[in-house]
Amino acid sequence: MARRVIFQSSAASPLRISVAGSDAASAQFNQLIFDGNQPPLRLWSTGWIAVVPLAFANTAQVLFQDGPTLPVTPAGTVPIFFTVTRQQELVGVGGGITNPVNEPANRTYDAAGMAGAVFAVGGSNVFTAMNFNRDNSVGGIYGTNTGSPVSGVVNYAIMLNAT
Amino acid sequence: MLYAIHDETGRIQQANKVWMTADLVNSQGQKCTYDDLLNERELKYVTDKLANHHASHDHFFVDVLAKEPVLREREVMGCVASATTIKAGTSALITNIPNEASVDIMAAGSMVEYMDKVDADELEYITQNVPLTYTFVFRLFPYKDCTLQIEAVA
Repeated sequence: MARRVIFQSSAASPLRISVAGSDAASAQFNQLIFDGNQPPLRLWSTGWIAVVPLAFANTAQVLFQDGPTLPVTPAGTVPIFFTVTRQQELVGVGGGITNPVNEPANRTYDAAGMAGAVFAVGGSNVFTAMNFNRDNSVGGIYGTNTGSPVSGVVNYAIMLNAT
Repeated sequence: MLYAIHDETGRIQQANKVWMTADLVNSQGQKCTYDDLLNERELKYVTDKLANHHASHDHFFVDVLAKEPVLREREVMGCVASATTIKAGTSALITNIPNEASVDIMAAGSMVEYMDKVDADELEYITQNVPLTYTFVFRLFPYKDCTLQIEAVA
């Protein structure tokens, strides 16, 4: 008889609830709705990282920007990163809005020669943002960065599956 | 707790809002706090327990000249265009420019001029003889960038 709910303080798990058709006692992880021994995902932090584009004369393919977010978790667990890149408009143009769509960082500068995208990766407990854009604007050609509007921004949320 | 990580000028480069305490471990494998992790990486940062925002670098900066570095809102730059529509070939006039602000001037999807420092509190820009919409972006940190559009018509 398949028992969908097991509630027993002396069992390995005090409460297990399985999906229909599975015995809660022997159900695999993907057949469980709840397991009292399984820590839930918790929201550890939210934030953003700005990554400036490559200068015009820089021959590298991508610019990396390490995040400060190093949630080194207990053994056997890993942090999970949710990320989205954000297109940043010039303040005042188009309402100064940001667009949560993965596009080149700035359309106005894009017309002046920028192309590429902004990404983020999470691995080995290190969060790293990357910018493939190249600042071909006049400021970029002169070697000076013209400021934050040409930066790519990566938003993120970090979930911990640890207690 | 909001952590705003900034450079030596006070520009915020990263912000992280930590919603829960967790057992973190430093590079030596010792338990530590998030502050310890930031200090280990020698990052400059300020904290704000009560912030209801994520310290967007468009709107906030860290006042590094204050006695204790503190998060502040960037002030609005009050540049004013004398007219938003002018006749092509005439001059666009922008006043109330803060001293040493830079300006990018864009038209038809390209940057047509960049000045590192506007050396006066007003800018007179002679437009071309064709209809175009010009976008002027003035920058002087820690002011918010100021964007003005002037349309030159036939």
